[in-house]
Amino acid sequence: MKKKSADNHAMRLKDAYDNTEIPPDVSERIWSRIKEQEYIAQSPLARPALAFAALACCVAALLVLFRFYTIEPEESNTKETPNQLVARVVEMSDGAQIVKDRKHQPAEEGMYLEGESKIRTTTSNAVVEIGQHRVNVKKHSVFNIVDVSKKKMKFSLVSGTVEFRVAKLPKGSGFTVQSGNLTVSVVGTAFSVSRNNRCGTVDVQEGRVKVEFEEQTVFVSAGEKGEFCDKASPDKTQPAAQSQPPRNVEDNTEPSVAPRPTRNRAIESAPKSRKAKRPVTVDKAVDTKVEEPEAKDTDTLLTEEEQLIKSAQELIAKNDRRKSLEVFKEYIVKYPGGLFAEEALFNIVRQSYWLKRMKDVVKYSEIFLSTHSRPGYRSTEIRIIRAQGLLELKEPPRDALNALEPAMNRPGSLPKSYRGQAMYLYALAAHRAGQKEKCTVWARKYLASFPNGRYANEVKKIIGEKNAE
Amino acid sequence: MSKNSMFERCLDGDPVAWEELFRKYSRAVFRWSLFFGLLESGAEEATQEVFMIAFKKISKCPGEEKLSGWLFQITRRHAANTRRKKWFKEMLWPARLDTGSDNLRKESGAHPQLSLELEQVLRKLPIKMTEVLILHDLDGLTRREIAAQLGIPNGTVASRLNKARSMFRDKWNPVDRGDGR
Repeated sequence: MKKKSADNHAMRLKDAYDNTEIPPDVSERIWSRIKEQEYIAQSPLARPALAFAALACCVAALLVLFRFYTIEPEESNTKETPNQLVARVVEMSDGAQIVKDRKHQPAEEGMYLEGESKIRTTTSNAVVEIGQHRVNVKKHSVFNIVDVSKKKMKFSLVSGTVEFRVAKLPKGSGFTVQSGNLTVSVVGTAFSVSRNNRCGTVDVQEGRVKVEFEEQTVFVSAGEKGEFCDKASPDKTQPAAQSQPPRNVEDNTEPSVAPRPTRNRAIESAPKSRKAKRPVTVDKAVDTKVEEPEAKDTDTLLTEEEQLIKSAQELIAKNDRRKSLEVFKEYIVKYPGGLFAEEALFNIVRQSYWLKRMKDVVKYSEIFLSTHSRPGYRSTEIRIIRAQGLLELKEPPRDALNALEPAMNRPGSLPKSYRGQAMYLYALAAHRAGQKEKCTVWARKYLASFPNGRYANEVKKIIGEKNAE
Repeated sequence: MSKNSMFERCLDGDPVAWEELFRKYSRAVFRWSLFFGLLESGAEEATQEVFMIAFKKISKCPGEEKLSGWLFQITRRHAANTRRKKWFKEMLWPARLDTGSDNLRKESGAHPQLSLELEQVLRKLPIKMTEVLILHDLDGLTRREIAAQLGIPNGTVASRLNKARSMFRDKWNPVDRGDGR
């Protein structure tokens, strides 16, 4: 009954549909409106969206013009006075602190340092602009801005390294950097001053600086590097200085004071190219004007420590990995806390890895990571190599995971050439440790990044095994 | 297809061909709009809009043989948009729109082409159901033709048609009871 009724109404629906006509007047009305609209549509202003966009553009342009004409001059200009410059932090990554009136506050980009201020950097550099001059305070440095008046700019370096790029100074003005007993005065140049315990080093890239040290005055020119140590400091350059001919250090033109032999002062000079720069010690107390030693004699000027490292590096260059490994190991035994200990340990791990001596890899990588734990390219590489060694020696996979963890937490820090290997090793270690989720995530990441990579088949196997579980 | 076909001339921007196209398809578009549940005045506006869009985008039409289906698609989209907007307005101002709807019907002046109950039933049907109902039961297209036109599988057309018919029956019967038939 219900179906019959519905069928009736379906028929009514069909009838209604068939009988529906568009009334002629309606049809004409629609057609005339379409023609009208087509005509209007040709004018862009007839389209509301376009008209609105045009209006918005006009308003925006007016606002920009208004802002341009009413904007105040930059704050930095207003802070400067005719006699006083203002220091401003222009670049800063993280970790730097400003100490003012014994109060510490984190440094920020664009921050103004008025009056006497101290900058303490930790893991990154901080660049400060003072008028036209630029000062780059390197990481792990403590630097004081004492006075930034236009006639007398005075700074002091407590520790670390600071690079200066000094613009041409007006006549009668001074730019001095104090570091312990060392005073460096500038005439317009690029140079850096660094301080390590009791020794101060002046490295000049452009121009010439005047260095005053213990009542003596010395000029250090471009390409030269001067090291000045206090009396009480260990005299590490003394033996070399005695056995070597003095260098071409231009002596002071001012009334000189005879240097006291008890004070240590060495000036390192090098070729202009920064890459080729090699420290050479010179005893300024013996002679004041000397000739450049020939290149073939430079090896004799190196300390035993330096010679050892140099010979090991030469062996690497000759691809003699076994011998280089022995020399680096000899260095570590002789100088466990030496200047090149990091370099030696790093190379021991690398060469052992290439020679497939995984026990050495594990042993020395552990020493490297415990003594040089700061993050960086080298430590990341060592972590990856260590993980490989641990996994090959079937050590507990948790150790490999721990070794890789800091590197994998910052995937951006992974060197490109090792990224794939690191991902694979991490997935493998997680697989062996039974951490299914971590293993699957990193295995998939590897396949997404390196679908035809060296470890692709192994990674696919791992995923297959995990899925089977 | 001859070079001087209406469709070709429309593509060339011939105004006479446009008028020809309008005269040929305006009845169908108006009818579809009404059966998609729009009021007569709404159907009039919809017809105008559909042809405006068609004239602007005629170059995107796949061919003269598919012109009817293409216009149906435009009508369907336009009707769906209109119904959605109307639903939104009803949600915001329910009382005001109810009276407005009645007034609109009275003010339209045109002779109602559909009975009130039929219009109510059509307005209650979802647009997806209405379109298969129109194309199959009223326009007489086969399921395969509908599937090709709407870009959906044959089975989906069949299920939608079945559902549309049962919904139509369900919504029609209370009207019957109300009328005492």
